[in-house]
Amino acid sequence: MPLLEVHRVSKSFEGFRALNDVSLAVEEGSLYALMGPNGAGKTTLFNLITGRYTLDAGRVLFAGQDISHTPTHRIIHYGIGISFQRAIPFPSMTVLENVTLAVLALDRKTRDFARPLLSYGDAAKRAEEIISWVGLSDLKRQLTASLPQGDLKRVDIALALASKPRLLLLDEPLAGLSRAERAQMVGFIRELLRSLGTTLLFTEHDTEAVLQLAERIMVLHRGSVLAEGTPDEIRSHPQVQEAFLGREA
Amino acid sequence: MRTRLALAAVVLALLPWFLHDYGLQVAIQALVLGVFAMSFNLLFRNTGLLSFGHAACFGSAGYTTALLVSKLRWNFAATLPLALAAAALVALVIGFFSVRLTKIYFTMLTLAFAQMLWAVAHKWYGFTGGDNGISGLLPPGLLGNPKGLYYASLMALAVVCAVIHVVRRSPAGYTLRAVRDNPARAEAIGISAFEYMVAAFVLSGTLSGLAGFLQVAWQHSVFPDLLYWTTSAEVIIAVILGGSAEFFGPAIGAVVLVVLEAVVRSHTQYWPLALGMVLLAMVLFFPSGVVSLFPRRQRQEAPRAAA
Repeated sequence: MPLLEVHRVSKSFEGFRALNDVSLAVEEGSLYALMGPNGAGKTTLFNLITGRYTLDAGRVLFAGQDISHTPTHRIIHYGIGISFQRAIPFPSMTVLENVTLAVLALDRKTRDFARPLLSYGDAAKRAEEIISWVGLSDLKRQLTASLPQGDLKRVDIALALASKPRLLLLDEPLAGLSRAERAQMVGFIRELLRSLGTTLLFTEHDTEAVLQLAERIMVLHRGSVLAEGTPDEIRSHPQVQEAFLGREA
Repeated sequence: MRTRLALAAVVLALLPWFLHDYGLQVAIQALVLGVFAMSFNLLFRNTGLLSFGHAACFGSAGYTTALLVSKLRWNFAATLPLALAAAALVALVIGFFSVRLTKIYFTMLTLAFAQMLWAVAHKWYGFTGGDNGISGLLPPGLLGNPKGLYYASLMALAVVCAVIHVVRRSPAGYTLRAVRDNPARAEAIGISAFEYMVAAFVLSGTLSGLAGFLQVAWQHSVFPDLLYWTTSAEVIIAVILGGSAEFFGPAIGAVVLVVLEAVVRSHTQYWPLALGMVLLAMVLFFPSGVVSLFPRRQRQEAPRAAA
């Protein structure tokens, strides 16, 4: 059984069909990418899976459970970690405070109005562990407001990892990064997932990065599926070549 | 910081012994507004929600005390738990419906709720006394003595400050800031933004009720203006004057506002004009409030690691 199944989902905004009858299945332990140009429907599909948008039609199943109309804050508790396209962790907090809060949110301990946040030793310890995974241990006491975009992405991924995800959802993890930062981020995500064994579904419009990182790719175009397969199958797909890889079919 | 706090505590503790009657009345009024402003800022600073309806919590606590004392002959001090409960209930109802909205829509809905309560208090002569209010509410014992009421108000301010300090450092306090900073990201770590904003509204409203209770003890009466929008505006002005970003900013703003009003009114009847000019100057030249005039303690961070 696939870890994530999306069945024939559709979404329109004021008459504009942003996503039309899209289905996909993500197997446990795989690295799955949604690829396509701006406006292809990648982020719409991402937001439908994560509960930010409501579905017009179709279903979303996670580990066999229907999560189609589940709000985002509940989806996290199923074992899904989310990182958004515009990585804006909580700027008024340090990196450690950000991640400790996320750890406590997963354990439903944020309703405590009395005990200091950082006195939760176990949560702070786990947060430090996650921060070391994303390579930010030296910056853990830095306010996130002062961090560059590349580090903000890492903090955002750390927040997603705090939910102990079986499935990690990353929306455009390379958006806003320089060329050098992109290469670093691709290596970082690959290493991270190799060590954690987490399933990954990510959206990206950087074709080369997708072909390097993903094991399976779905190409979206104007809200519909153009192609689906392994990186080699996508490379050799005539319509994908014509539309995205700049080659004649 | 601790030295400054200790110094301020000593000054505030000794102040009644150096003030004449009128000065003591002004000081009590400043402390009561300080309690209200700190309570209001718990919501505003931590969630970014600008309520224009906090008069509803302030006034409902005041009316609860007044009605229990005047109609059921309760001991004045014994009404405090029910006054706080009334403020909490009003805050729960207003918060439940209002926090679904944001920005100006939130502000306008809170204002509408408060104005509805004001209209009820203003017109229901048989129960609330209408625009005649309820008077003759002289509290016995400590609260009936100006010095006693001063110390009770000072203690209330200390309690409210302590509560806010504890909440700010707690997971719930951080959660409120997370919701303020980025509600979508907060939801994506498993936080229901709605629940926490309602909780913050209720806590802020309940503490505002404490100020409402003290206000009745101070003026020995209640009138519908306790629930009127000008009461909500007054607390917002105190917060702007003091500075919402600094912990004690709202309390300092309350002192500045009350003392300034007393001084200006002793010289001229044009207090609203003077207030307008002061607000204009503050917004233009000191947008962070009067506390920005004092040296600030910077938050310490670890040095940035070399790349």
